[in-house]
Amino acid sequence: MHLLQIRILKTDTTISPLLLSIEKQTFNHSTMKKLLPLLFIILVLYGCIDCGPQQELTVEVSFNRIKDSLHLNHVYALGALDQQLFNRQTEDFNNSQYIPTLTFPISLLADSTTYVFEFENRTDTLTLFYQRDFYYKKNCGFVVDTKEPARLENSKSTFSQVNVSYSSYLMEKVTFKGGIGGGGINVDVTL
Amino acid sequence: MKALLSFLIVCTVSMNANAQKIYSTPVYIGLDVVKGIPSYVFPEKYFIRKTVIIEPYVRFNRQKPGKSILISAGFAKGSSKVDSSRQVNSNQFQGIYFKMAFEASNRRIPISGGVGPMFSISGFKGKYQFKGPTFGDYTNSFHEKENLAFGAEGYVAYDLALNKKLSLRFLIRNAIAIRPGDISPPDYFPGIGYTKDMSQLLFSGGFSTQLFFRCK
Repeated sequence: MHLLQIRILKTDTTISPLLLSIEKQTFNHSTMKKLLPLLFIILVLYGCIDCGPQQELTVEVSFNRIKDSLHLNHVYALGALDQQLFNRQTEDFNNSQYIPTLTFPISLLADSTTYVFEFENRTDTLTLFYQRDFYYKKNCGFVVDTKEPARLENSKSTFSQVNVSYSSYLMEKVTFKGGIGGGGINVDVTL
Repeated sequence: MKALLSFLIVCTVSMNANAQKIYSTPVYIGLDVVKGIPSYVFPEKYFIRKTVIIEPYVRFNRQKPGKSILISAGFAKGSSKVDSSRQVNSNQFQGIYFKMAFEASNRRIPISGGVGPMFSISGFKGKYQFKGPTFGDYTNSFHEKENLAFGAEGYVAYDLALNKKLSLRFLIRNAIAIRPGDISPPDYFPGIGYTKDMSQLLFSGGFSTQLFFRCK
């Protein structure tokens, strides 16, 4: 509507009403054709909801190893049935420079998961604490999320420093680019 | 089931107490004879499975000619199709519902039409499961006790007299219900037909057959 008003104002005041109506019609048809897909996308997005995770959750672990370029031989999680994913993470750690970020699954069977990192000359452990939250979400089914643990400590580790930040795994808002939020648990480790 | 029986008793007592005021003879007692059958015959194609549905009716004439009132209270107990996309791997339900219809009959041909409100309370229990490829599957149970649905149901029926006391009623029905609850369906049990189940609304069209016994 704003575009239409501007175009009409710019036209000569002596312009006939017929020309004005033609311009109006041209605007209506061509603009509507362009706007329709946009309206459709907006409607689709407006109807979209983020169900959130409905599978095993993962945490992002970033390692600050600028001063320490240790080679990681092996990483595994206590109680894990499948270690393949951890083998891939070991490769990623050794191939990346500076601050490697690895993705580890967390156990849905308990409120903590312990990872063991076997480096060349040392072995470190990292135990993450969280609270699992299972609930039914309309139109989605059961979803799982995590919250900060009820206990005071977020983690136990032999690393020199560990910072754990908690946010929901559910997006706050679905947008064109994907969504806002939904980061889940993030861990910063200083070796 | 207790609530169902109580409701029927209250209805009967109430009718007797106000017999002269609200109805005239005859009075019919009926039972739906097909509603639960498809869940046993076509368990793979039907959303509800092995579900017992007991739906008794009381029908009495109003003092106006050709007008009657139908009261029903139903009970359903069974299980529903497993919905793995919602992590639900078993779902058992149990529910009761109440219906009432204001009915008008044609005097020449035995065709009637009715419409009235319905109200349903249902409970669910089952198990949900999250696949855990790394640490193993997480399974837990859920139990939702009171889920409500309310709406209206209308029908057109044809009555076939079997003898002086018994009659069969074939009807085409359509129901619409609002489902404020969060948990998975079903929370109302309309029977054979097509049911469009949305998050907060239920549309169901179909048919049914009821057996009626003339009391007076």
